[in-house]
Amino acid sequence: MLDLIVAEWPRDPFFNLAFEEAVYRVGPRGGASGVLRLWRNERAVVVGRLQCAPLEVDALQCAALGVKVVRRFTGGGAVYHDLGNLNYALTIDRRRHGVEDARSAFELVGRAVAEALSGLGVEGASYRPLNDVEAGGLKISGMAASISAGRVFVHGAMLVSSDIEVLWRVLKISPEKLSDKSFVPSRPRRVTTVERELGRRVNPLEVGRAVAESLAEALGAELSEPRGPDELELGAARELYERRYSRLEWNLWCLEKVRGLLSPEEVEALRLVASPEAVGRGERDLR
Amino acid sequence: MGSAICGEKKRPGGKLVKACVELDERGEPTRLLISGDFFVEPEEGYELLEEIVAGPAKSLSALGLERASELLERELRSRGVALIGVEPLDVLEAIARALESSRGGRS
Repeated sequence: MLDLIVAEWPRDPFFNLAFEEAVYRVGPRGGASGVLRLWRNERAVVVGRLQCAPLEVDALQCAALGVKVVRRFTGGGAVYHDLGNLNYALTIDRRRHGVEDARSAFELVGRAVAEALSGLGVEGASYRPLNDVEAGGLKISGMAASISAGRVFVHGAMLVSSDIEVLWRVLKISPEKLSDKSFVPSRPRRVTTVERELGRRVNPLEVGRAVAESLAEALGAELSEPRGPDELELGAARELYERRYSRLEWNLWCLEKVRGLLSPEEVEALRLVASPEAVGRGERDLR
Repeated sequence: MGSAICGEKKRPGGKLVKACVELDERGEPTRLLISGDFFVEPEEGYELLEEIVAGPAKSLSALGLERASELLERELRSRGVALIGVEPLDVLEAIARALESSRGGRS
């Protein structure tokens, strides 16, 4: 069985990312062959474990647009989240599914996600190594992974109806990053959304359902009814939130080393957007 | 101590390394920052990476790019750490680019 969790705290991306790691650490239980979480954030940039947020985001734009900045525990690149972006996170037993390394984990999930998109009517959906899913040559979903001795974790962000203009305003893209692209069209055309591909309004949950079913099929598992977070996962998430995700030392780990490259206004903006201080209280009470 | 200077290297078809360095009075790199959108296995490797890269980075000007990256490859292997999406050579090349622009900037 593939255990499906639908649990999100969209106004608190710091807790959302803490819960993300918690689901992986707790892992599949009760005979389930895997756990899949579907969730969303309000406006946020989520940077990779090894990315230095001050080098990746325009902090002044983030502050002006109400975009939070959080660092995740997996590697890979920065992604932009809003309520039009669907996040999927799969944890599976490594031995049970014979996944040897990150490449094969990306391939397993990337192919299943591409098939889900094809099933919804998206043309030219395909997995593109190492960690992207494309539609007609444009990126529609990016993935990241972590592998331990017993467990494989792959999560991804899927642009369903996200505001691409905000994405380009808050992410810094260096010319070097584009150096191996033979054809570089105007920036907003390097990515696409499910809505743009289908030419109609699309609910992220509709895409989530399709991704869940496709992943279950790829794993040869039956998909469970969706459930909420349980106490074990929430306890682990609270601990990770306190120790990592609510802290500037985690989200801005590299700040001291690049401080000289930043204006005082940028440093101030980074401290604001990378900390949960200004997160609405109401949402946090739901925990 | 001046501010950091950064260099980048994108592996064609792969991932990007950003290296930021400060130089000491002898022109050797100090306060190294290795960042990027690549992956490290196992997870503990993320925390070890700068320590592993520090040695090869310091001997970069003496050894040259190729030999320094062979050294880095050996260090990674002996610590059981693998880079995914970039090669050791890319990491050293990003550092070399940072060093080049910092030296260019000082003269």
